[in-house]
Amino acid sequence: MNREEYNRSVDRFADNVFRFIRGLCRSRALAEDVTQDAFLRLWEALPAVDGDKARAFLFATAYHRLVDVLRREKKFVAAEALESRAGACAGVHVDLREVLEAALARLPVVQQTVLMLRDYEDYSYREIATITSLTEVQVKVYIFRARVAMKEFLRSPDKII
Amino acid sequence: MITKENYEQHALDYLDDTLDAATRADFDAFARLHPEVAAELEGLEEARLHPRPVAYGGKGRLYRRAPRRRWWVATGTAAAALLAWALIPRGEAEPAGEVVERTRLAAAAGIVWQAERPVHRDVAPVAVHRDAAPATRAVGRPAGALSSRPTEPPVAAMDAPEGLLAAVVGEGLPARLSPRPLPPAPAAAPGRESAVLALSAELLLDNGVVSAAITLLELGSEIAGEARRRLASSWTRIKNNLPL
Repeated sequence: MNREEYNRSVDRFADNVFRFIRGLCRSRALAEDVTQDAFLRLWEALPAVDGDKARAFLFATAYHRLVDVLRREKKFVAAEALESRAGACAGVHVDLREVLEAALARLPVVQQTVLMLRDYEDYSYREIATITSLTEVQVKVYIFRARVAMKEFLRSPDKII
Repeated sequence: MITKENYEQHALDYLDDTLDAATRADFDAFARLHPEVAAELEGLEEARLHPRPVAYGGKGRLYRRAPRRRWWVATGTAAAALLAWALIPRGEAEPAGEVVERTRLAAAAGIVWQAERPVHRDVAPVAVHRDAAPATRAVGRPAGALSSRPTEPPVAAMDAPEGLLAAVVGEGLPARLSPRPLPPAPAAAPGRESAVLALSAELLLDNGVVSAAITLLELGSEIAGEARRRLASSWTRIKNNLPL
């Protein structure tokens, strides 16, 4: 990978990486920092990264960087903590996309991660497993649980007007 | 075999219709036995996220551009340096041949070996008094072993510049060692030219014009003093810091 390919990666993937991290952490400033850090790591690793691997490298680097930050701030929630977060989000959501995002925000970070990589970025289960350092079976289970939880949230009449 | 414990890992493949026929039949059988699982699977497509267009505003900080060469600044700097170099007044340059001839040491024809006897090394050396004794008296030889002809002072043939003689015999040259007078010094101090060279090289380096800086530094390779130290610093920058 060379300088031109790196700059093309900025054009193609910066928005996606930012959206992915922004969806996970809900903090624009943190998402900008993590995105910038991911591209800095890509630049530093430039000779060793193939052009077609840049996207996965960026998402994986950004995700693990965010996990490090959240763990340091003790905000990382395990997958099993979904129930404890239920009901944490309140408010009126009139737009379907807003409802979905509100439902997404209720999920554990790991479920949000795999779901966004699947729905936003259209990654395969195997690629998501590579990015998140999970097994493919874990990825499928987390995505399934995330969808079930979001469906239940969408069908709760008190969440939607 | 699909069970309550492992059905989740097959559920997405079931919905995506990517299970093989045997596993799909197992899953269907399992779902019929567990209506709550069948209800779970129903309507999961509603829970698909729709990406919101998001623009990252910091792209400008992410791009990596090749180091730009501000050639117009560097060219102007180089032109100014060369103009200053040309405008500095300097004295007439002495032809190289004359310098060689003027600094050539000639053999002292008046010095003869008069003693027939061998030199006795156990004799105490005689101190040389440069202010009184002839400069041709050899250190460590017996007095009188060497003598010079009075009609032809031997040191007169040692026609050398003042600086060279001072370096050889030290201070207090005898009166007969008066060298030929040097031509007048150049009108401009060499340090000024050196400073211009050093400053120009630094400006060129600051603007990324390495080749022109190297040329200037080569021009100034003979200079000394503070300017030489600055030029050495510029060389170090070229070798260590610039992405050549």
